[in-house]
Amino acid sequence: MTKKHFLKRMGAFALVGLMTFSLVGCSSKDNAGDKTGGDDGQSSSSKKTKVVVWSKNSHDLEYMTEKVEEFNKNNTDNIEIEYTVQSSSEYQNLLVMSATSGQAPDIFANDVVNLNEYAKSGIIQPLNSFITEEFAKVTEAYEHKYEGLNSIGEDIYWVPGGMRSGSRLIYNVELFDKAGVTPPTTLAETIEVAKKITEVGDGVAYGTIFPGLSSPFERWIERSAELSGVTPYDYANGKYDFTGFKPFIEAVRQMFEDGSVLPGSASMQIDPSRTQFATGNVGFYGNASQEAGVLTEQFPAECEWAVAPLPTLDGEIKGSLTCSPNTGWFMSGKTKNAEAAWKVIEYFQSEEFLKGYIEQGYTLPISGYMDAIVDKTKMGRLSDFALEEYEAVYPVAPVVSPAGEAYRVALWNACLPDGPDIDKTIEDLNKTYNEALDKDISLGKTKRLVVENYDPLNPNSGTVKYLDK
Amino acid sequence: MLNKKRTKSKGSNLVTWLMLSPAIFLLVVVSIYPFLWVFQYIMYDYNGFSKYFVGFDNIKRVFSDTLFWQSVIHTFEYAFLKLIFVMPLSLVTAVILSRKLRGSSLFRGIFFLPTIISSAVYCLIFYFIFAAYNGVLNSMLHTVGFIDKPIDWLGAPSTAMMAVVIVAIWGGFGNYMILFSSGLTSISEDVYESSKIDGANGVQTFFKITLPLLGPVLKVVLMLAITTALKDYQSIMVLTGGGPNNRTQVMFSYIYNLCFGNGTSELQIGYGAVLSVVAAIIVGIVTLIYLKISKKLDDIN
Repeated sequence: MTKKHFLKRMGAFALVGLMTFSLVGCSSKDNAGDKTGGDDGQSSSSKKTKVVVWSKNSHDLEYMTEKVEEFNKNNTDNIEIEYTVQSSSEYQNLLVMSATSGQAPDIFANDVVNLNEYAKSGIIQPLNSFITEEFAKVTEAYEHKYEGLNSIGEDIYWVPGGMRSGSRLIYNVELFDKAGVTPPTTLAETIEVAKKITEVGDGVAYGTIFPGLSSPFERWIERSAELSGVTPYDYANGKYDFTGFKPFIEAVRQMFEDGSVLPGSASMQIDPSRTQFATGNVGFYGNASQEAGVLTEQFPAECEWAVAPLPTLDGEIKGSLTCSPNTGWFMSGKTKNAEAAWKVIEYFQSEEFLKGYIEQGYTLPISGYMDAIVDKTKMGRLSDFALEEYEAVYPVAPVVSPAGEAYRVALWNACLPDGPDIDKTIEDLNKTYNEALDKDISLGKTKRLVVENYDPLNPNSGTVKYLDK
Repeated sequence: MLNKKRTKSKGSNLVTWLMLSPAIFLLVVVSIYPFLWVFQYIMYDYNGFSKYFVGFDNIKRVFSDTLFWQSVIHTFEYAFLKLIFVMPLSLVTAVILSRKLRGSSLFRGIFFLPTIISSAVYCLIFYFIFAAYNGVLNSMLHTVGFIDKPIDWLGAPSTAMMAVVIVAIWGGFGNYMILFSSGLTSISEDVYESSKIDGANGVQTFFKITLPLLGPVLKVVLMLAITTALKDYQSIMVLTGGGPNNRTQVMFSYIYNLCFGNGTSELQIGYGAVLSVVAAIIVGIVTLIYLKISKKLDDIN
């Protein structure tokens, strides 16, 4: 081998070596970064126990940041909270991925998850052994157990610190006055009112709006149906039944055909739809209590607005409206700092923390204890959404994997003026959902829920049974 | 002598493999392994946590899944509409800009810009341009008197696909233009000069000289364009989310929703895995057919 060849070859080896080194270098740096997540969390410089916290809420960020800083400065247990807000639309994917790759946060904000699967796979752990007397006094943890939502049997996986109200009709008072109408109570009135507002709107303001790309069905139509006694799951007979939704879908389609819906609704995300209402271009829309904060802080409304109950099929309330327990924290089943993690949960749900949180208008009180001590005059417009007699937390219907569209997507598509046939859509959903229920029960994935003596106005009063067939 | 040659080739083989190793490593880890990984879930109902054996149910479901086949048709419609506009447009632009006119590099830069902007970002901008209420496009059309009431470009089944295709053409055209430009530089000036002496005009030169000599480049660019168009879905997710009423649902947005969810139902990764294989086969078949047909393009003479 000549010297020239030798040098060339050595050069090549050196290059390859350099490339490999840079690859390894990159990955080892990444590993080091990851350690903040799931490991023992002992940061060598300060010897503090790091508790990684994930949330999917951005509306309360200011309060959370302030409180986290306060905790990091003042706590005597040498704990440091690392608080991160994740994308709400990818929240569950991120959780599952981080848990399966050993990088799960120590505690994370509650979401409506498949609780059985989360518990079975060890992503979360029961909190029963941690709950203290003081904690139970403030949150009434043992009274607010909802099977499949925050607990399985006796095991409590997260404790709600607050409650989100069910949906309401949020309306523009000025447009209602101009059109000479009052908030509608029936579906027929809703169509009429939307039409009248559009007429006086002069092509600028329209009757109503739906956030077509952000769960429009779930926010409003499904809730109006609930209040009329129509739910996707037939609790008394233990099967899915979408037949009752027909008049609601027809009503929405009618509003579209009348031109009473703000143009562009079908392709609109939630925030643009909110700004349209805030600007004064929309008569009314349906959504839950988070809108109080949205219309006062995020997109301050330029118009006078008020809140009324959602319209029902015939004006009568025949079923409960879903309200959602919230402001709770899961503890990772894989955390190595369970004690420290619990200290953080305890802090987030302490009397002082929750009082501030509720008085800032981020949530409604769920426990009688907190309800008694918060100063409701400080809650701002959230007090318009105070919980009503007719609101309740429904038993969680069995989670199934239908061989077809999800019902909220399919039923919304049927609401669109050029959408599929309503009867055919309902027939298909009844078929795919019940076939999936039968199949998933036979696979052992889920159980059939039957509530004996079921009363839609009081969905938790009957006897709950979980059947294997 | 022979022995020495063999040693030398062995040595350079080793260097070749070492040089290739980072690329091969990445190919195996990010392409081949995930593709093989998909196969393990084909016979299962898998929601990301537990898997349940379902036999051939997932495969049987493919044949009766009208929504999926509808999305396949939409994919071809989208790809066809995109290619039929973007290819001639980028080729003609490349030819015009290759004439070394004043400012041609500036224009090349401007046209190439969309390629380096994230598609999520420019789709968001187009979302506001196409907005039915107070959208830029609607107010322009209204001012010149073409329309008297707003058109819901992204929300009406009749216009949604067209809107999505326009964005795709805008986003893809600069990239293909650059590829064509580099192909054009390989054509010798002498050929153009002699055709000029023979009295050929611009159109004749384009069809008789440029196009045939660009054959091999055209073949590769077209193949890339076809496979990219068949696999596009990111811009659709931002603009319409596959709606309205599934009008712009393409194969991969449909599969994405099954595997990563749209927040409305349980993940169905097993069935999504089957559909990914089916989709890969469909894209593969189209590519093969194209390669067979396009063999002629290789033959410059």
